[in-house]
Amino acid sequence: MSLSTHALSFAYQTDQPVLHDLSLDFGRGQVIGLLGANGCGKSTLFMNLLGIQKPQQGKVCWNGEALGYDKRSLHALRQKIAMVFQDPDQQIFYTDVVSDIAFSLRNLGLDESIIQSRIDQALALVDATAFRDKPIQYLSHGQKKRVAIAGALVMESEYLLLDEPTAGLDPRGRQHMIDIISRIVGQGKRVVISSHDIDLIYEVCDYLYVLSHGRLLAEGRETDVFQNKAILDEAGLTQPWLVKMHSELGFPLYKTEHAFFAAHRSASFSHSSSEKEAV
Amino acid sequence: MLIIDQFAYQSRWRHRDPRSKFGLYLLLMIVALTSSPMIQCFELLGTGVLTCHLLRISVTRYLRWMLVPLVFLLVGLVGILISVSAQSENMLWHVQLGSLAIGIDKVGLYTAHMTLWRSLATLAATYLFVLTTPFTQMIRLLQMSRLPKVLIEQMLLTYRFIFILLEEAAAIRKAQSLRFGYRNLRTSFQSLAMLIGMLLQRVIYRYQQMEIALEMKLFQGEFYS
Repeated sequence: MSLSTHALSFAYQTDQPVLHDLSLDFGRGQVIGLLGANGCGKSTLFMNLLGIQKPQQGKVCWNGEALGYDKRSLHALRQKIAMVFQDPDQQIFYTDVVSDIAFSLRNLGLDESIIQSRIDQALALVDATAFRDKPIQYLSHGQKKRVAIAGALVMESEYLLLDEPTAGLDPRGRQHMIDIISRIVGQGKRVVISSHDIDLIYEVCDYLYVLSHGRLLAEGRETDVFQNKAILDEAGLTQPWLVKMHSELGFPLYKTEHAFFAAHRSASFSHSSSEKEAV
Repeated sequence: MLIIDQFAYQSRWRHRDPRSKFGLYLLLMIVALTSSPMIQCFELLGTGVLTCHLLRISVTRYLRWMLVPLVFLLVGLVGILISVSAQSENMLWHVQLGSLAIGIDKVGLYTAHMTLWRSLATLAATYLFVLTTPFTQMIRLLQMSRLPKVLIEQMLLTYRFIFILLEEAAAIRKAQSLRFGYRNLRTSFQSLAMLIGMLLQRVIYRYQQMEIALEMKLFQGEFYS
């Protein structure tokens, strides 16, 4: 299972290209981050990966083979790659949670008992069991987002594309989303996240592609890319605060907030206790 | 629709089989349509109290809900009550307008009396049914009555997206009025025209987005409900 693009270029109108010569390999990490300012072409790239848009030059490859754009190949591809859109209202069609999550499975014609067990699993994974009987229009934005993710998870696809998973979420909802993403990764799925939530990308991703105006600006491990301040500036981005603490103030580089505070809490604790001893 | 549905989801009968609720509704309707005003009066009272109990709401709130259709009912009753005739001797009260007598006669009074209680009783029965049956159960009822699938799908999707449309319309309206878009009649018409135009654009855009999402979910031309 691997998804990649080779010298992909795409334009909605021929004289205004949106994506230029992108060669990206989504097998380089478990969680790949697509970074870029607004309008850099992240969502368009997703549409290309899913075969909804067809590149004018270059190709999208699944397991090394170029995508076929006939109905059957696309149908097969979309069972391997699922996507969660930024706006959950865009992809929830039903008024109740369970029917909506079941939708793609019923389209596949699966057995109803399999459908029910997959729904239960998906709802448990995104912690949506408590509101599974509530009508969609009374759910909060964060809850709808979790339902949308469950709707993609039930397909048990190998790749999950998340478009701005934390946009519009409150701090607790955001933390919850991070937990959910790590659970999905724990199941061995590959995840591609498009976002400009820098701190999120830094915490959950292990390989990054930085886009600017549809061109590839940088790629590499998250710790390397985020230490290149000049490139981030050029892309209209900024460093995560944990990286800033490292590069500006000389702290060691930590991957998560938790690790940072754990290390320094014990340091300051031993510091203050040694002070006490001195007194 | 939204508020009605919200109450239905909070009612004590939320999980009751929709068929039994519909059965009760039919029974109440038959009684209301065939019995005498006395019995209709009792039915009205009983259904009203039951509805208040099931929805955990106060009687005043229930009466306020009743007030809305009551206005229409009273206007209708005026039409039934007042009759125009060349002879005024049968009338209990009348005013003479040239050769015509406009007033209230016995038959009109009796019909109005019958209509009032029958309407109120059927109204109370309908309230009880719609306020205790959530939308998803309504859909199940429609399926059981073997309505064409296309029609049910239509209802399902309309119901899902009408709220999004209303929310967007409300947001546009709010933004417009914050910038004095509804200050006078002229700007109001302009703003309203803009609102409708924008809504249409958004609907088209959302339709395109929805198509993509449907493709992602392997849509095969049928909504399962």
